[in-house]
Amino acid sequence: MKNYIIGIGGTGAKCLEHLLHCCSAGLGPQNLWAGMVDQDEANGNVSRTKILLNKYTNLRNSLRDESKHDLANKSNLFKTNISSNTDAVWLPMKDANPTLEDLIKYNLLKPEVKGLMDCLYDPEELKLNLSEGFRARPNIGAAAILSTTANEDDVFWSQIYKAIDAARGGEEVRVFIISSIFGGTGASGFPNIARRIRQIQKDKNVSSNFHLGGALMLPYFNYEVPDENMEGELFAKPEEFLDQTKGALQYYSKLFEHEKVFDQVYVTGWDPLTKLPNFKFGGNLQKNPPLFPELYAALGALRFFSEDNKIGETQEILHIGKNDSNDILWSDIPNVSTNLNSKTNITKLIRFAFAYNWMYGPALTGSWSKIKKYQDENWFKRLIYKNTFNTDTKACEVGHEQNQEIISAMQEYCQDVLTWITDMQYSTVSKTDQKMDLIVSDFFSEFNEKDSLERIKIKEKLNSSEKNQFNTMVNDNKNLKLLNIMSNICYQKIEKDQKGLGVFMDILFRSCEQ
Amino acid sequence: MNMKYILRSVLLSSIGLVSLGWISFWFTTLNALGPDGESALLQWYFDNLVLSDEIISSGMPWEDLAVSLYNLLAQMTTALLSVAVIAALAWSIGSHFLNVDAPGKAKFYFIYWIIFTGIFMAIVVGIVFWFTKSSTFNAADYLSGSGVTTISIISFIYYFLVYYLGVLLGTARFARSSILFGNKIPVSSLL
Repeated sequence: MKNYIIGIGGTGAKCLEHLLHCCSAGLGPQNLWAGMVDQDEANGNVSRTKILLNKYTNLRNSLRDESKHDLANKSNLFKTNISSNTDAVWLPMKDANPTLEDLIKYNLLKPEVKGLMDCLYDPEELKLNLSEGFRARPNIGAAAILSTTANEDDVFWSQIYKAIDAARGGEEVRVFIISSIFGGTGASGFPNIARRIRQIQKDKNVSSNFHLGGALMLPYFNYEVPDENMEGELFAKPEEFLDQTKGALQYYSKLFEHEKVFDQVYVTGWDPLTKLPNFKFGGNLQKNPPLFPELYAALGALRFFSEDNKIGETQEILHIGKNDSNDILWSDIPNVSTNLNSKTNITKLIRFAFAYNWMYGPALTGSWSKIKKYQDENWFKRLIYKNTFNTDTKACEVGHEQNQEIISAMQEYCQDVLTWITDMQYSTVSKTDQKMDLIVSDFFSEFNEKDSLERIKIKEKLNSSEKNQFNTMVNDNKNLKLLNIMSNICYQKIEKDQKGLGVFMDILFRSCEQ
Repeated sequence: MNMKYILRSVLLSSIGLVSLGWISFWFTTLNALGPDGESALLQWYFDNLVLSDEIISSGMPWEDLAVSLYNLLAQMTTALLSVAVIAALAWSIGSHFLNVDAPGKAKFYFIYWIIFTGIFMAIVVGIVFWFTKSSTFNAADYLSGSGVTTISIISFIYYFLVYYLGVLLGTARFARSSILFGNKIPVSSLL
């Protein structure tokens, strides 16, 4: 089965961030192509996901190399083989500082068409610099996306063509689109890209094996717009989100009545809305925190890709469910399938990230002269020494540059995981009466809501009393201690095909559950 | 703590204990069966453990005293073996609960092992002392100084080795650096 995911706009990119972490925890399908669509290429949300995607693929490639370091097929760590284009982001308009006026060649239009355009767009909309996105103007975004060509030569669209060709060849293909229903890029891209994909499918006469799914994010956050220097600026106004959503839902209601665009649509929203502290027009400063509703969209996508998900003939619309209280609990997180328990895998990843970042990563970092003090310990002999020993040089090569690169890349990724879950927990409930106690994170991190560039600071070192709080970090009543993890890594069975550092990484990951 | 790992430790510890402990078991059985008139063991006892001259001069029949000596040794070795088995199994199980939660931490528990082993050896000394100086067994009064020394030295060395083999194999993998030469055990799925 071939799977494709497209995150549209800032929200789409953020949902992809959640999805990547879920895939590293083993909740994803075997393979996945990921792409993003955003006119605001420098957008902080998009670039954060792009960086994470690169880290994921690099680390996975390093740890799933059959000749050197191999986690082996059975391992759930970084299970999904995620691929993407060299540039994972598709820009509908590729010129520098594009405007709608340039795009439709307004000055060359016949007077009557010009008049029509004047009816549809304000002069400032026509002249708006779109390099930072469509600024919550789906009417601009729709025109921009529809005016671009969707031919096979385009790097982004060529993937869709390949997908449809594969479906024609008899392979099961699933494409999933995630975006917000409000805002600019997502609202305009979601229906137009979906319909275009269906059009290509129709043109190619593909009637089976191809399924299209989508996650629509209804409003789930807002923010305060500062009063100063905002006159004449076009930007996403939170007070318009609900009206925009109402209009969009009416549109989708009619669209879905007449046309089966999607096989499955996952609808997610949140009440009360999360209040984001920092308003930014767009660009690299717009780095919104990961929020809990986005995790639902990501899990919706993974459910869609699951082989257990049998897609029927009728269009299904699924929405999220949560317990009635204001507390957000682990039990509110839906499973991907009957065999893939989201809570188990995510908690395992969090524990792995902690144990690796503060206990095992530092022990494996540095030259052999620093690392060798562990050489007599069972876990080291069994998992590291034996698997990084070079029979030609008769030396353990864990301190070699190539291995050290993997060790430090994993540590960086673990910090991303801890930042992600901590930021999500703090930011989702900030300034609301909700409570989210999935994990206890204050002993290893500091939260500064106003610092949009570094809201979460993960402590570099922990003292022993902080390390001892590991067993209470995840609120799942498992009471798994660091001692249990040390014990597990000494006894867990090494799989036959595992090699190099892949042995240790997988064993540590598997050891992080009871 | 994972029960599976603890049971594995108990099994490995038992293998270590049996590998040397069977000698003690055999020796205890021999003594429990009582003296055999012409056995070499009986002669060795007479030559090396007891005050032969005093026995002859007191006119006490050696055969009667030998029964008491056999009884003493059977009961003493039973007590010593039991202590060695209990101590080795207790350490093997307890090692799973040592808070070795980070790389490099196991060796800090060496001091625990030294104290535990010290207590075990003190108990061994106490048992040997109690039996050799006891008034419960007539034979104890006729043990020579060199005989007591021989019994003590053999007991200390032998039962330490029985106990050591038990803990060497039975200690939790992650805590092996806490025992003497524990980290020299090769990596194997069986160990």
